[in-house]
Amino acid sequence: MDDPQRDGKLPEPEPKETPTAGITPRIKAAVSIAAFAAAVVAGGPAAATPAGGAGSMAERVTAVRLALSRRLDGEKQLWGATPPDLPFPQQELAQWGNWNNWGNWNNWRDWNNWHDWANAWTNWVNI
Amino acid sequence: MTGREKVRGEGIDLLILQPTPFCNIDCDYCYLSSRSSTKRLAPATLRAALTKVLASGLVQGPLSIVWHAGEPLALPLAFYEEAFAVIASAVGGDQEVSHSIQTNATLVNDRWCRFIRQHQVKIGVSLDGPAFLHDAHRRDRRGKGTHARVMAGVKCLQANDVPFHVIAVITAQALGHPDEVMEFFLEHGIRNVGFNIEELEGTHGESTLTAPAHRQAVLAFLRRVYEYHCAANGAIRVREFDRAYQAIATADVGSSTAAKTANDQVRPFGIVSIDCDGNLSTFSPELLGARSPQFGNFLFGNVNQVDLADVLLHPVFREVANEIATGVELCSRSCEYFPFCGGGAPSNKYFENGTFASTETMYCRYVIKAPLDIVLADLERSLSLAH
Repeated sequence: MDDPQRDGKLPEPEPKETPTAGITPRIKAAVSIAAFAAAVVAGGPAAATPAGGAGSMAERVTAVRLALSRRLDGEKQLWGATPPDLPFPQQELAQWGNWNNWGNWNNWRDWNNWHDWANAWTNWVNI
Repeated sequence: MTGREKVRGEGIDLLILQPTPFCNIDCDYCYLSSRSSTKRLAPATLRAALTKVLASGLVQGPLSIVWHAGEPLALPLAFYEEAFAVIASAVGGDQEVSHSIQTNATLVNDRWCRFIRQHQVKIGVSLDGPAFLHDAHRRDRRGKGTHARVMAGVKCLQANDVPFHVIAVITAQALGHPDEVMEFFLEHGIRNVGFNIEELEGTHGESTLTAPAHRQAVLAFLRRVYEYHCAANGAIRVREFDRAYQAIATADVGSSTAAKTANDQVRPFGIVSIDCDGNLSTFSPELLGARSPQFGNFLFGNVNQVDLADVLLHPVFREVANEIATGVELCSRSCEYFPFCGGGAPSNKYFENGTFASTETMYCRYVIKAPLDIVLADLERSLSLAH
């Protein structure tokens, strides 16, 4: 029997009429759609990261994150609770990221405004 | 933050509603096919749309509604007063809803501004920069440029303290003028700008940017825009570079699944688009109203007749979903930008490459890859990292 995960094709959806005790139609629909969507995005065997070696995008991004983290840690120790205005573009990245235990550093300056505004942009993907 | 925070990748991120296909202007790069039709979304259809979307159980946080796919302000204000009331009663008090409108701004007036402020509607204005660039493509049906009317709308928004962002389309004519474009926005107090490229989509089957000779020119344009973005020290923000910062900061570079789920254009029901007749589409918003010999009109059911779960049984939906999934898989295997993108824009793949089961498009090159390259190189330079 074909394995839909393996050949990248979609599994047949669960018949809508299937009686499932204790599950409301609304939840059944959500489960059905969510399972379907998950099958689509997970379709096919796990992909190897293309060009994951030296000089790859993944490696360069990891190096940037590490260097930025070190620099910010150093500046945090230097400046204590009142961080300086970092020059662009590090300041930007510091405001975006939630990674690497920056804690309250994410709250400095206009973090909340930036964050709201960034969320607004996400609604305009390719429109 | 609310108690019902949305988890991206697990439900409906965006609901696009077409109040009318009609547009009062006639841009030559528009991808919409029915912009002379004066049909409008009926209250009963709107109620059915909201009811079906919420009944699906896929709305897991605040629901973002974008009024688009025509000129929303071409309808009278009374339409929205009724529509917002219908939505409020359909969703109930527990469901947070936010509204956004993408407009050409030519019809903005003080009354619209009051309504926009009252309902905290997020506004996007389509404006391509100075008049000589804007009016080259954004004209009315008599062939007259619309720049002066758009700027009157922009001034009205500003006078009424209505925040807005601008979406500008990059055409071949703009490539030699990044300074004029950015200076124009700065001069007019426009602080948030997104750049769309002129794409091959829907009825717009040609783009002035397709010539290979333009590739370096587009990259040069974006590099110059980035210099402004940095030098302005926050006075103007460019969406593509902020997205690149966000992607560099947060992308899960070790997981292909995380990238796929973060791209709501490749995920069924990540974006749900409903036209003024109640017809439903999903994946890329540009598929709504488009036509194809293979897939018809990309409509997978009507909210007046079916539930969202029924869409899963629609044969064309399944064919489209399978082909999009194949395209995403091809991207994940061949593109090192995949962790930051998640599989591109299906509509661009289809209209540019002839199939969803394909990879790179102009959108990839200029909206995903180029901004990432520019920002990453700048970060490396400023952090003294050799590359």
